[in-house]
Amino acid sequence: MNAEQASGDSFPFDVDPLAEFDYKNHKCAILFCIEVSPSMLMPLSKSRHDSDDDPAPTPLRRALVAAYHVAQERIISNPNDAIGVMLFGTEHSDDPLNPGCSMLIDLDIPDVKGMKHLKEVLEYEDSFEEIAKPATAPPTIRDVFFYAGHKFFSAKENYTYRRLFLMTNTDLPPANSKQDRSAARTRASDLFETGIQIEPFFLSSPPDLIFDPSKFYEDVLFMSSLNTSDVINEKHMMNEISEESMQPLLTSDRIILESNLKARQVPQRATISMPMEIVSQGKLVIGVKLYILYKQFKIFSRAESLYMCDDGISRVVRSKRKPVGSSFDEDDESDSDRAATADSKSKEEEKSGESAIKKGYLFGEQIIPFTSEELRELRSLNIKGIQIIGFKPASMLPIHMISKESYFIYPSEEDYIGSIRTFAALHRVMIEDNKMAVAWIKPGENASAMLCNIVASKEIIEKVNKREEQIQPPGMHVIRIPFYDDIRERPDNSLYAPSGPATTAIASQVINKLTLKGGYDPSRYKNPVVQRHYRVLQARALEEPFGEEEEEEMAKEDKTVPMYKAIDKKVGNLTAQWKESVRNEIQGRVRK
Amino acid sequence: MSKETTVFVVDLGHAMTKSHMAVANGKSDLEASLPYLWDTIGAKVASGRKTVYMGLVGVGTEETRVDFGDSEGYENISVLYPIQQFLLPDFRNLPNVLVPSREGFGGDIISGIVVALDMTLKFCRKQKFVKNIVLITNCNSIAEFGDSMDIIDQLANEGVIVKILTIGTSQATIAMKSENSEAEEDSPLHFSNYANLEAFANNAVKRGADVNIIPFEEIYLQYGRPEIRKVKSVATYRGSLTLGNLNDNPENTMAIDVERYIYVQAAPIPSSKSYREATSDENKQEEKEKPPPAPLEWDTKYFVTIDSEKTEDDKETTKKETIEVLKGDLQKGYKYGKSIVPFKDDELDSLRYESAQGMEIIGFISMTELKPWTLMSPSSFVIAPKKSPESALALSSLIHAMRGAGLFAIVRLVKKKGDNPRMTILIPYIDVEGNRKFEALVEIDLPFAEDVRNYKFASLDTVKTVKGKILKQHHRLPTDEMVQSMRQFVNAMDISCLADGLPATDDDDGAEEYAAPGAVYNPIKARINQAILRRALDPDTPVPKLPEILLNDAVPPPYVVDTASGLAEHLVEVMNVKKVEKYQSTKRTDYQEGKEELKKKAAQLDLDALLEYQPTSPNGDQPKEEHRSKRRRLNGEGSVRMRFDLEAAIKKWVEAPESDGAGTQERLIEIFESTGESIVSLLEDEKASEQDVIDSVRVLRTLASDMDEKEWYNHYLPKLLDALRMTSRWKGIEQNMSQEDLGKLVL
Repeated sequence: MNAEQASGDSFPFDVDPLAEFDYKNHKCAILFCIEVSPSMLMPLSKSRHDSDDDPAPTPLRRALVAAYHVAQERIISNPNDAIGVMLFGTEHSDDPLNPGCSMLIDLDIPDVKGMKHLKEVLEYEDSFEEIAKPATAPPTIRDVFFYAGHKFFSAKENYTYRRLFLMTNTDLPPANSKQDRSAARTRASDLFETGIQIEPFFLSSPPDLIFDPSKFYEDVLFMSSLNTSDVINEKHMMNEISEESMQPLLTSDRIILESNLKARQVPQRATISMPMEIVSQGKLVIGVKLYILYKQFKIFSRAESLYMCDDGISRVVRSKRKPVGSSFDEDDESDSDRAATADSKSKEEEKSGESAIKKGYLFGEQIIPFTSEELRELRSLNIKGIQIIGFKPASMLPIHMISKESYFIYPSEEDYIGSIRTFAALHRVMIEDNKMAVAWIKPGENASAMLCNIVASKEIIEKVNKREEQIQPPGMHVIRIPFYDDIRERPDNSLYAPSGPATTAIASQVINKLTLKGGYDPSRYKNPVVQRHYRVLQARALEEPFGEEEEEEMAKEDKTVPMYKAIDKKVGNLTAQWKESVRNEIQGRVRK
Repeated sequence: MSKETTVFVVDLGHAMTKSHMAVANGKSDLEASLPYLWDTIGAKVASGRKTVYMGLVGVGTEETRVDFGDSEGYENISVLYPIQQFLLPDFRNLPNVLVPSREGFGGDIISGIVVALDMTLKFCRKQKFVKNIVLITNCNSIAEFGDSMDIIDQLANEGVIVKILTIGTSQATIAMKSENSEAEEDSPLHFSNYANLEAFANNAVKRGADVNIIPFEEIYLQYGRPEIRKVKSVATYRGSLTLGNLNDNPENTMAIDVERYIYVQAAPIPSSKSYREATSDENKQEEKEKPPPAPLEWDTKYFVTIDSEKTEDDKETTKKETIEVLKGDLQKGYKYGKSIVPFKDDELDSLRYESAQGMEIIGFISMTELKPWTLMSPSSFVIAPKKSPESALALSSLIHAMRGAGLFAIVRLVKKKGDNPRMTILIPYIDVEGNRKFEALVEIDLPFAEDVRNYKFASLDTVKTVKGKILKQHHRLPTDEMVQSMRQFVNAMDISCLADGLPATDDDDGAEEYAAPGAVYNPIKARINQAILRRALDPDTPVPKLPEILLNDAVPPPYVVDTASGLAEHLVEVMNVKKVEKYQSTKRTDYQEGKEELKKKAAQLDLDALLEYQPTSPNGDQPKEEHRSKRRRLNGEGSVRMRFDLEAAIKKWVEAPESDGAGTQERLIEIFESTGESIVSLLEDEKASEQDVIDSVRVLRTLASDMDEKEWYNHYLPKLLDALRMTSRWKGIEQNMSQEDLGKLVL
């Protein structure tokens, strides 16, 4: 965060508490556990996505490239997340107690050194071979899980989400006796219990190697999280090992592996649980969780203030903001010279000084005091969570009056049993009958209540890269309804001059030829500013070149620029006609 | 912002102490009108704007204080405040100034207007001002209209806006009066005065002056409704809307001059500010004259912590030093993962994205394919510039073509050269019903790929087992009956069109959309503003209640709720939603079954047997001792005894004859929890062996399994594992526990 913005003179609930929470409180750690074995080093034929210069692909290389890309992307999208890469089955061991396991990158927020190392391994054959020596006796899966678990436990930070990406192409490890299975299962189960989720990526390279999960891993992984007769429920949405993820992945095409990785690396991050009242006066209340699916990515908020210290290292600067006249030493550890008694005394003074600071609202240039209880009361409307006040046809949604990003809600059985079926019934009725709900929502303890429309979205599943993928989740979206206060005065548009039918007709032809199939798909439009920023940052960090060539390459990738040539080809002539028609019509009007 | 003056002319004649308004419930006219003055004047003071001026004139005052006091006809008129910027002390003093006169003092209402006009003109001179005069009267003072034409002409010429608020002149009040003989005595004067005022207003309007006469009752009934000054938007984009490449191929490019104005944007709610309260010493000295506090000033300092981690002596790793640095010496930088990449000022340019101003159409999408939840904020109007008929026509053809084809445009917008591009959508907007016909494109931000989080959620229509089996019937899925009941309820609760709170059709008189967008006042904002005003006037007033008028659309309309109540009750019954008690929360067996089972078991519970282990028995000290003794017992061979004890309890529990089991479930949970805690505390016991721990855990696990409360154990396990990891001593035990099959119980 920018030092300037670090603290503001505002009561805690003057910031959007949700956004704050969302930003700070979800840290994720991903540990790649990638197998090194003779079969992982078997050369694969190049796919169309590989360039000629790339070294011969192997399953191991594909896995490492994928991990590298994940790390690169997460540095941008989730700068607080940790990434680690562990190899198992290697000749080299980090710890004699855990033979056959070595960390290529320690589980931590990636740094330049680690990224450079990974890059080097991928670029230089020698470095690659160095790390890719298979052990004569590979470790058991139990030991792999044990070592991985140890890495999670010894990580410096407490991560909300801890995930283990297991990448292997050995469907039947050498140690596969009943005891081995049971031991691996118990270990996996322990990982699961402590909140570590295992995501298997089973690599198949037909025709030589077809991965069969039923040989070993179904035994080990399914039991760890769920009973086989059990159903996938919302509790396990974050922890499930689903049938789909057990499907082996073809290593022949690197895109498949990477898109699969991408699809599975995002766990849901609920922001808050809240009650949703369907029948007023608390007669029918269910539990929902609120998610933020849309939020503007801002680079400037990620800028740091630095100070170049005497040792030539730039360090991040912390800013402290205090009322004029206050002491800044309060939590200064370095001030140890001061005698303990004096210290405690000054702290007391500080305390009494702090307590004299009160809150109020500005009235002209003066402050009208209010106690903090009063401030809280003024903000409350006695609304808790979501309270539905009625329903309207979904067509009445005022799409032209948007004043805030939407929230997403999904039911949870945690606090109210029967929430899912009730939500599902409401969801179905809203979709089938084209209805929306009108409700008040208070999205969080300190947030202000607002009026909203609640719109249901249907689950849409499509085949993407030969894999069924949910491209629209089932659930409901909460869209703020603007208050009277939020509507600005209409601009003084004194010219009301509807066009004549001829001009409109040509305009219609133009626009009908330029329709984008399938609506607006955000994933197609990357933010060119963000992309460029991180390309330059990465180039600086990893000492890669960034010049005209790269600049051009970026411009080519920028899909936000209109396709001028195609537009001209499709409607160029029509546009000229349209301009003519506008001119004629205007001249006609002048003559009248 | 433009400068404005407002002179309030308030009737303070003795008649204002009487009640002339039917709706005021006996409040005197002055009492009833003061809140209006507090709100209106207070809002202006609160704005703190230095260009807002106010003055106050009293009519019918006991004194006479006017600049031309000697001239006839201005007796008993007082300039209470000359035109000035009002500050908090002025505002706070108003209740002392606005007091009615004793009987026998009368002023001329029109003379009051003349005084106000004179003040205004003298103050404004030739400068540009928005000039307002607001008159409040109950028409019981004299009104001498001799030279009213001159006044009217002056009002018209100077563009003064006059609002005359008359108390006791609405139809309802007049009707009440004719029944009430008591009030009749002041009627003749009242009516003739009112008629004169009305005539004055009508003449004024005829001659081009902006004079309005409004029954005060209308305002009185709207009390609590906030007065909102609509923000006038400024253009946030002036440039062209293009389709095609204007630079390379202007001939075949559609280019329309447009301007963009914010249309909807969440208005900020006032935020609190800090101040430093004067210390108690000062407080005593100037108890009464304490000035209102001013906002705190802030000081920002910058610190950097130098971690001398890389000293050669490895033991001194934690040596830290924090130094203060100056703002001017700071450098910008970004994090790349954990590493910091500094950028010098001139290097920051290399990060900048070069962009040219423009609003360029990328293509069009069908309106049916727009997912409204992807829209971000704010909404803006895109219109043609005022003096460009050609652009207006060109834009209109696009608006109508889009409306006709049901298409929205996807656009890349760069507001100014060098600004970051945004993806936005253009939606045609045509309003021909309002007073002023209006066409525009409404523009709203769309998300980029980076702005979207693609979370996955389980289907709501089917339930899938881990092995991929798809279930259509499950307690998590609604039955047909549930869906049907929900459908009836949703239909009954339709609020899309109501007239006076009753369901209506569009054709009915007064039919309105309930809680319509843009029609509801932000109650929190209004309430805060009101609280500020009230407290500004009187520092000791408590926070006022939220006015009912603001809650009109906050609750479901009562009639609709009443009509739907039968359906609602049915819905509640079929859905059978239950709030979760602790420990039942993640039970995944069918809820009904589970509940019945629990009931049965609770009924079988033998209370006496359990009370032996009761850590929180009702009699005083005993529980503590009991608790301690159990811990002691757990040492060494304790686990064996614990097992016997617990097993005995289970046995009794299962075999005991029926008893009243209210609350027993909770007690069982308590026993279970405290036993679990004992095991955790056992870990700290030096004498305890690994086997002891394992045995104790097994007892607990078996207990949970036998009671079919597996969740209890599964809930407990992570806590235990955490405790085990805290010490080095128990390192191996975790592994042994798994070998001993003490993992999570399968539900």
